[in-house]
Amino acid sequence: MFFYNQLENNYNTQANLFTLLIHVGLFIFMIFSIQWNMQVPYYAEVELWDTIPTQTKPAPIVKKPEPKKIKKPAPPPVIKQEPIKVERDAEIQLKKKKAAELKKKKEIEALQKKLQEQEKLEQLQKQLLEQEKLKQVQEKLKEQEKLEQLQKQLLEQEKIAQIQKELREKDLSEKPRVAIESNQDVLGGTDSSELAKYKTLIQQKIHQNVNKQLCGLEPDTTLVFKITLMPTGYLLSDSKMLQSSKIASCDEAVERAILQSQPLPVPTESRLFSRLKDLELKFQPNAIQ
Amino acid sequence: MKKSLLLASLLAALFAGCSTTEVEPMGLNAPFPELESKTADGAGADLSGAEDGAGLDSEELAKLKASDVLSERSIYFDFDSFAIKSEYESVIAAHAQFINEANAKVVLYGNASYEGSHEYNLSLGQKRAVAVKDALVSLGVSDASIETVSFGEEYANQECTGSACGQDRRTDISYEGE
Amino acid sequence: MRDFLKFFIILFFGMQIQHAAAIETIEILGGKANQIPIAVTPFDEQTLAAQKQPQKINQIIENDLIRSGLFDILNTGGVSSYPRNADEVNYSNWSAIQAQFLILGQIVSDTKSNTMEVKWSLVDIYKQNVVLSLVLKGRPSQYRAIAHKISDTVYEKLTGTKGVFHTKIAFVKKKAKDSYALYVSDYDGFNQRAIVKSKKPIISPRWSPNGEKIAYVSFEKEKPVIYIQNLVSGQRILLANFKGNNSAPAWSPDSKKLAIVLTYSANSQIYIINEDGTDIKQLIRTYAINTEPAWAPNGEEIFYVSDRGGSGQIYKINIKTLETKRVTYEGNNNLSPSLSPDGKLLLFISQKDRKYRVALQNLLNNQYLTLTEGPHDESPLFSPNGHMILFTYKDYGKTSKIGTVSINGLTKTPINVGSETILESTWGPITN
Repeated sequence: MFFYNQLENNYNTQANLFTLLIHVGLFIFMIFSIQWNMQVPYYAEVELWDTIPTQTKPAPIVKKPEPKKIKKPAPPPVIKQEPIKVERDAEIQLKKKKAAELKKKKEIEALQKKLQEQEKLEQLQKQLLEQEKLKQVQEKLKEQEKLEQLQKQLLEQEKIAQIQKELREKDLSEKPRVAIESNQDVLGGTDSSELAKYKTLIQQKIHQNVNKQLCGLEPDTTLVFKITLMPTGYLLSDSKMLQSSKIASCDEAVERAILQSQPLPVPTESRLFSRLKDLELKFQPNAIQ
Repeated sequence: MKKSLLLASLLAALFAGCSTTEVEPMGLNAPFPELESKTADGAGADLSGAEDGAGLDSEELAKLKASDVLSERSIYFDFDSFAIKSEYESVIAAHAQFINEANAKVVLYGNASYEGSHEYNLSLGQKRAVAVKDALVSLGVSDASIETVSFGEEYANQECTGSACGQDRRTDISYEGE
Repeated sequence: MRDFLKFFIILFFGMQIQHAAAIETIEILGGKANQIPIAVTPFDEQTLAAQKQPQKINQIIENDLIRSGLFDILNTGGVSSYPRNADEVNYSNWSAIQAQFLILGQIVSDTKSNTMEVKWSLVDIYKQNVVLSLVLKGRPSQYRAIAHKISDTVYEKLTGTKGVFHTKIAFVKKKAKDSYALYVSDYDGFNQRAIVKSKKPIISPRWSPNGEKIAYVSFEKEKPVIYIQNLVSGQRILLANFKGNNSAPAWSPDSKKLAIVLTYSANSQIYIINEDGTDIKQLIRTYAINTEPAWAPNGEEIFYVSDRGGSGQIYKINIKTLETKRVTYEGNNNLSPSLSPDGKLLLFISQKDRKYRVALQNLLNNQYLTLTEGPHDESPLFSPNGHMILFTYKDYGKTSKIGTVSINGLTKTPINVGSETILESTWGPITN
């Protein structure tokens, strides 16, 4: 732009302005297009946090508890059998008494030891439990972060895909260059047969649940719903009815069929998933199959 | 009158295929009859639409009882059919002769087995009665001596199975004054 | 400047197309005849009235919903506790048995004022919210009526169609060779009472669409004649006693006229007469039998049976233009036509191999299907909401009974009115 300014030329100034305006315009449109396409509000992140524990049922990622290191209780003191000495009765009695008292003492001590050890055990167990809980919480946090990242990635990828598509389809006399900042791979060719496979799976699952008895007899009764899915196959929010059958019980039955079909079979691969994230479902319950 | 003429001509157009050169007994190409409404409650059995004929006197009654063939009063039909089978022709002929000689009035009761709806069987029983009536008329009995009534399946054996139900597919001849 | 504008326009529309192309569409054609899984827990009731009842409220509601064929009633026996009100519902208990909806309630009775109060709720287990919460009050003698009212309300809420669980039916019982009676009862056979008794047969009872009268054919005069009896006053008029047979009364949709069949010494033909017995006009005359008239709900056509083709088949005639058309082609014999309340379905008896079965024909696309097996099913009539069919049935050599079959063919339920033979039946209209 700068070296153009050096030429004192009306035409150049015009071109100058033109180029500037184009850049501004593109910039505006870039922002505008992003805002336009942002159907998925960023606060989806917050929803994720709330819904994961109840709606989605992730496989429990609870690690097996580590083998407890339990100290075996000390073996009970062995009472040695001393050789029987012949002594006088009184002494024997005294000795017996003393031995008995010693015994008792030792037993008490042993019991106390046991108690102490049990307490230690319990404390250990408590500690272990707390550690486990902490671990679980940490892991959950990690999971959620991962999911959030996935969402972010997907959104960014969409942005880029949009811009690229727009650029490709322009038919311009002038072709200004726009720098694309991306640290991701550009969305490449779609695997259309995989896509078709998942569409069929979704269609079959929902079809099983459509109660057409509540939709009357007219063969051309039609309903259209729009849904947005999460990678788990569950609906992100309530489905949106774009076309009603004009029969209230039919509308409700089809909406129920969609809800009942959760989780819908969706691809795990993020690029494919993004193609199926937003779906338009067209129903004709009385059509002859 | 205009309406019935219109209806009649419409019907005539409908049945253009059928041969209607003569006035049929059913009056297919005639205007619909104006029916005399008989809806007075408490009236007795409105059976004798028959204008001709009188009741049987004692001599005729004796003759009726003595005759073997005349004691055969039932004509049997096949399933869902009102065609008179040849084996009954002689019976019908005998009754025709007697009716004419004695100037009797008869009522023909048509019946059906329980198979089929009550109303359709009422109509089928009627057709069986009318079939016997037509047979009598073709043997010279005056149309007005004969009354037809259908009981449909109402007096049929509702628990019969198989061929036992054939008993109910019949028309009964009944003489007034018996 | 023009290139400038062009660029922006293309860019703008380009984006619109982008946005539209981003969403995949999935087409889902057809569906299933699914039954809605619903649980009805025993109501919390410690009333004396309840103890005398042969069936509890939850059982009455369950039977109603089962009979309709649209619901799958779940066994609540395994659930640990029964909620008395919506706040006490433990959703996981009920979703564990795959319930989508739950009906629960509480009955309080006041012996002094002789009233009972029923508080009940319909809960959506899937969405975890209360769909309906209502209170019904009545005398203890209205126990069953209140249960039916709950069934009706739930039915209408979930299917969009009015329920018929409060309606009545009428049927002819043959107690002996010379003992016949016309009874009226709840649609499920309870609370029956005789309105006509006769030594001679009674057939073709037909309830007027406005619910006030029943027409029937009686043989008390030694031949078939048609009476119309007023249900409130018990008075009756002799509608038709013409020469020959008088039968097959069929009410017009506005209850002002009837189509009837007279034989007038010839074969059965169809006439139209005012409900007070005046002004009779012939509608059809052919060589053949023409009988069993049934009005279309729009009042413009009459469907009927004729054997002009050799055996009984169903035809229809436009009352004004007299244009006639054959309707049924399947089977050997098609009899006893009647129309659904919306006029789209033809209900009749179809005979094949000497077996008589209840059949339906979709008048929009002429699809034909049988709903029962026979061997001797007769007199099929729609419930006033078109979702169930009342009919009589018998096995070889046995007595006739009445029952219902749901219109999806999934549920056949007998109506228990005693052990005597039932000849024919009719269904009264919706009254709430």
